[in-house]
Amino acid sequence: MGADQLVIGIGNTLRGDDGVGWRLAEQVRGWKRPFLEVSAVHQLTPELAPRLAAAGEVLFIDACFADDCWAHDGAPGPRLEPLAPGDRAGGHARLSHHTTPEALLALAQRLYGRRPPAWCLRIPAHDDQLGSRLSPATAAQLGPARRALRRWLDRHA
Amino acid sequence: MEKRTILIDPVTRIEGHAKISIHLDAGGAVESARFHVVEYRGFEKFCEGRPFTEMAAITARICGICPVSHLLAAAKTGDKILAVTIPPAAEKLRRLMNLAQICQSHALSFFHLSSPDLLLGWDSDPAQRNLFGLIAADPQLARSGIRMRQFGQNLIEALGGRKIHAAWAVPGGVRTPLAPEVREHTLAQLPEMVTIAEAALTLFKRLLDERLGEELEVFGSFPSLFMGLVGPDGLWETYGGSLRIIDSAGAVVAEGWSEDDYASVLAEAVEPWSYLKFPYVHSLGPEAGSYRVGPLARLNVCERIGTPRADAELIELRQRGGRVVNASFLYHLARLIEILACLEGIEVLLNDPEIGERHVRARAGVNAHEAVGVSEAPRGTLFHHYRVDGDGLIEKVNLIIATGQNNGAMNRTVTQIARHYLDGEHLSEALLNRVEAGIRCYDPCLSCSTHAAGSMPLQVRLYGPGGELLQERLRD
Repeated sequence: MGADQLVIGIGNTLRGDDGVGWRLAEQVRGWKRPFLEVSAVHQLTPELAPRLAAAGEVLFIDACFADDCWAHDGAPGPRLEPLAPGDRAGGHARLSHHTTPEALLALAQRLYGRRPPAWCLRIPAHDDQLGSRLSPATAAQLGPARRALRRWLDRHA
Repeated sequence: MEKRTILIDPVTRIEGHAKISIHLDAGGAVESARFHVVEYRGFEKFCEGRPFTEMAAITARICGICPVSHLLAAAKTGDKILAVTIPPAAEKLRRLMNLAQICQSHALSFFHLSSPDLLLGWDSDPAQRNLFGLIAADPQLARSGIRMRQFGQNLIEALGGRKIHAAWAVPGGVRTPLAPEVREHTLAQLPEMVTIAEAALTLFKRLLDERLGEELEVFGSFPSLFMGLVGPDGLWETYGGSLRIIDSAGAVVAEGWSEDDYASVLAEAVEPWSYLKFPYVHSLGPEAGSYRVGPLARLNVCERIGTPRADAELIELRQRGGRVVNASFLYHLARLIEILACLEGIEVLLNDPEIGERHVRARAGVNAHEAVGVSEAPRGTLFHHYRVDGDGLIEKVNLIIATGQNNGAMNRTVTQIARHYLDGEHLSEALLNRVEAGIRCYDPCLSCSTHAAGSMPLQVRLYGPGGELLQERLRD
């Protein structure tokens, strides 16, 4: 049996804001909640599929282009949204280095017979050039992102 | 007829971003083809000013696909800056981690990236010719790939504390000794992994015999040099030993040279249309000196592997492709043989009592200001070259990565495929699929991409001699 809640942070911490998902996942790892499992990964790869299939529910944390990332109140900021079954699982580029959460969920369903309820917390990224620090604008979103993540954990615990 | 250019941009299902352009001459025949790398790495510059002791941790973060390779090359370079001999257990543990790394990386390449092409065929619907199509055709093969990936990843995690970016190998050795339960757990999984590897070998050899004969001739079949590490008596090697370069007939071109002297043997050419450099054997020039690295090269340069199952497969490979295999399509078969070799090697290492010793790290200060470390990454030989100041801060870094060393071969492969399959002015799906698959033989890892950069559609453009866009094709 897998975790009740599985959090997967995605990103490259040598590419500035691209690593924000990884960084937040590393923070969550320290929260030590029961039945919570946390992974920080550079990219999504197929062997995550069985863990997904065994998890109660899953939250991905990922960077997104700042221009495409709006909070629910319409202001720029982290956005937490459910991942609908079946969407964006297809496409020629599936399961390259650019594997999407949706494709991985579809893989879990098809190979292991279960697709858990899943959400994605997208955090605006402003600078993905070489560097091991977040830009001030993205660093400022870590607080709201943490709060959104806590709410998700509490609501689904 | 006017000169024109066909552009495939970007290539999918490889790590990173790249594109392919095919250049036609005035007669409509393929003049040349180019594999462009359009993303600048820049990691060397990024490392300047950092303590050399951090290089293993930093460079391991370059890539999520082969972090262990950078980790080990950095640690070996650090050993030489300390001027220490690392404890025997530490060397065996590093070897163990490298074998686990090669297993899991080759598994991703074969089972998940290349199998859709191999099993479903080049002319199948591109929308189906992917892992999901593979699942429909052979779900067990897809699960087997995942099991092999898990095996390698779990062993890396057990040794280093995490699956990727494990800063466990350090200058002087490794941070922690082997836990007895890791040894027992890993040994218990080996029979299942060997079964998976042998089943994949059987499947691929059947496909070669039944329907992949033409690919052997066309997907990068040409004479070239090959380079890789070899151990004592020419044994297959992935961590230590010394560098050997052979020609396409098996004659030794260079052997026994120290990696410290790599600049006297190897040179790097640059082209304005790619960020990826073109390494070559200096004395032979960029054309004749172009060489291949990676699984096929390692099997070509060695005399034997040294474990029974893998050696039996190596003999069969040589019966199929010659003593020196020049067909790049057999990189796939070489990958599977290496998986088997890694599994057997892991068993040998875990049954060696010395690997369990507790002393795993030698300590010293900066005793040398310049060093070169080499290891075999899944995709081929990886060089780290550092120069440090008296405080051990990095002044200069040069990384020669495996994919770069296969750059010349990838360009020749694309040209060969385009010449064979281009049908007049018709840009067929079959041609594009084969050109992409030719690149995938080398399992290139450009590894500097950001996943947030977006999806990677296949874009095909046809340009006229004045640069005007004549035709464009796009598929998601």
